[in-house]
Amino acid sequence: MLEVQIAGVNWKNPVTVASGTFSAREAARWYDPGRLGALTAKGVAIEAWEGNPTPRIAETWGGMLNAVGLQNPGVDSFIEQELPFLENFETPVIVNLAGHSIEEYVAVASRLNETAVAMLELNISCPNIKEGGIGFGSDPDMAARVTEAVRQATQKPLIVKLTPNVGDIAAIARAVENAGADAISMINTLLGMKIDVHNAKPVLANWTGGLSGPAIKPVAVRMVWQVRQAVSLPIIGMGGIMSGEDAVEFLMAGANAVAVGTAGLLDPAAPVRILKEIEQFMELRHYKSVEEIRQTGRMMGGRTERHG
Amino acid sequence: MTKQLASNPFSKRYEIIRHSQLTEAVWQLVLAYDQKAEPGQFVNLYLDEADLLLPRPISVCRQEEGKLTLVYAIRGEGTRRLARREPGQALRVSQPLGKGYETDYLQKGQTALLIGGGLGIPPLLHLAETLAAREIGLTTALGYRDDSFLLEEFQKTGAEVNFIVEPPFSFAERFDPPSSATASSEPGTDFAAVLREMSAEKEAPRGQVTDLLAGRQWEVDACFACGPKAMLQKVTAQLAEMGKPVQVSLEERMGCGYGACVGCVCRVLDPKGRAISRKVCVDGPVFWGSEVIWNA
Repeated sequence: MLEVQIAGVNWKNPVTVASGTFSAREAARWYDPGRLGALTAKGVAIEAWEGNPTPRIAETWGGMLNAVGLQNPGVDSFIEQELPFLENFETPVIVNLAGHSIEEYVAVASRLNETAVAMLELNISCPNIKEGGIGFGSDPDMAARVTEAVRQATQKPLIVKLTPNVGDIAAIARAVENAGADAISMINTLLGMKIDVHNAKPVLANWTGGLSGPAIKPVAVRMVWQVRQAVSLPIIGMGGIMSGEDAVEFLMAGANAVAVGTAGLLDPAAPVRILKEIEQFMELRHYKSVEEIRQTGRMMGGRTERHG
Repeated sequence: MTKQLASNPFSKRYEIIRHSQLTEAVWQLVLAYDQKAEPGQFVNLYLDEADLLLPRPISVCRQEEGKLTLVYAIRGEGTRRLARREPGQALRVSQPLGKGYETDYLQKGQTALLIGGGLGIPPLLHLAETLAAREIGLTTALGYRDDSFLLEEFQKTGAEVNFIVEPPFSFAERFDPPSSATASSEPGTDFAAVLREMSAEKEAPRGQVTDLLAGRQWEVDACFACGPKAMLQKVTAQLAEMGKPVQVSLEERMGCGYGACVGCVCRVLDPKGRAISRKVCVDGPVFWGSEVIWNA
């Protein structure tokens, strides 16, 4: 009833975790990560990245800002230290790719192509690094170029993660679809800022950071719906999912699967709770498959979005 | 929106037994809590309100049979709301988190120096009580910004209590016993009187905890510190000059508090002398002062 297929990969259910909010080692202390539809690892680059100075986290109403800056140990260390643990679980592993340039993205994708990773997620949407990341994700031509280059470097199904910090997200989605992406994940965080007025300075050492949590959910649902009008690729929807009903909203907007991010930081077991709540919702409303929920969303009728 | 899990080992709801104000900004929260916390560990408190989602990570101040005491300061909207929660209500609290102080190497009869600044003082009480139970001799060097708190509790461990306060203030007035404090004291011991006596003997100490530390040669077998980063850096340097290593408990703004978000990192030297990142919430909050790269 819960199984979905994303770019040819079978997931036992539609729930994964948002990259950068999940540590399999920590999660495994409280539940079996193999219960999830897929496991998405934190962004990994060709070399180790130190990330941004602290403070990296700020609380905001209904959400949080983070400016971690894709701290990671580099792909070789990841393959040696982290990947074997992730592959202990009976579920596909998605690795999120970080880079400062097309060459770096290609290098890390090539390296991971030799591993048993199930899918790759191209992160062209991180707002917290100076070069690369969002720079690629906010321009259709750049997005297409990096997608095409990585596409040629790997046989793995390729997910491209989109940023909401753009004027026309549908245009970016179409560009990466044409460039060979197999799926889209969305949305990454919204660029935000918080000022400590008592000390007259920004709370984050990086000044700005990415906003996540329930505060951004309506933006995310709207953007999934817009992208669903624009492309036929599978969409992994995310942005402030706190409950099963929140997840269903994304499915009805046109997503094929969902990712839980910030909710998991407030309670490590949130992804499995949300999965259970989706199941309960399906029983309550007599849905026989996740696809059926998505189809219901398509039949909601009303306005057809054409211009973002 | 934030629905509760029926049974989730990470966090559960625990009843508030007592909730009282220690100073103008500092509050003491006592929970009916059945899990064992090591000195230096912290717990996440969750307000479970839709607008303020992140946990408040708070160090364990004291642990008694079935009871956990936390001391926190009102620093913003979240702690302001926390202060309004009343006895009888329940709060969602995580299991004890983080790596606390290493104390296994200390033997009965040895001595320890506990150095605290401000809100770094409460976790040292849990350490003091734990070490006192193992018959380890205790000396404290505590630095307060203005009003002092928990001094009676440190006295009760048998520690030699040294403390210092930042701005000038009227000492005798400060220690006029609040009625609640007298009521909670052991029968026959008037701690306010003890403190008045101390103040009569000595000039009221004013300055920072680092001034207190610089004032003498400390003959102790182990040093433990908790407080603001600038203080810990200086304390580490001061003690290094005396040839004494110190364990320090770092504070950093946290997201999840359990190792997933990589928000609360610090830089430390690995055994080969290379700079590496560590998560304060799971690899710490306690580190050896000598391994911390202070100006990273």
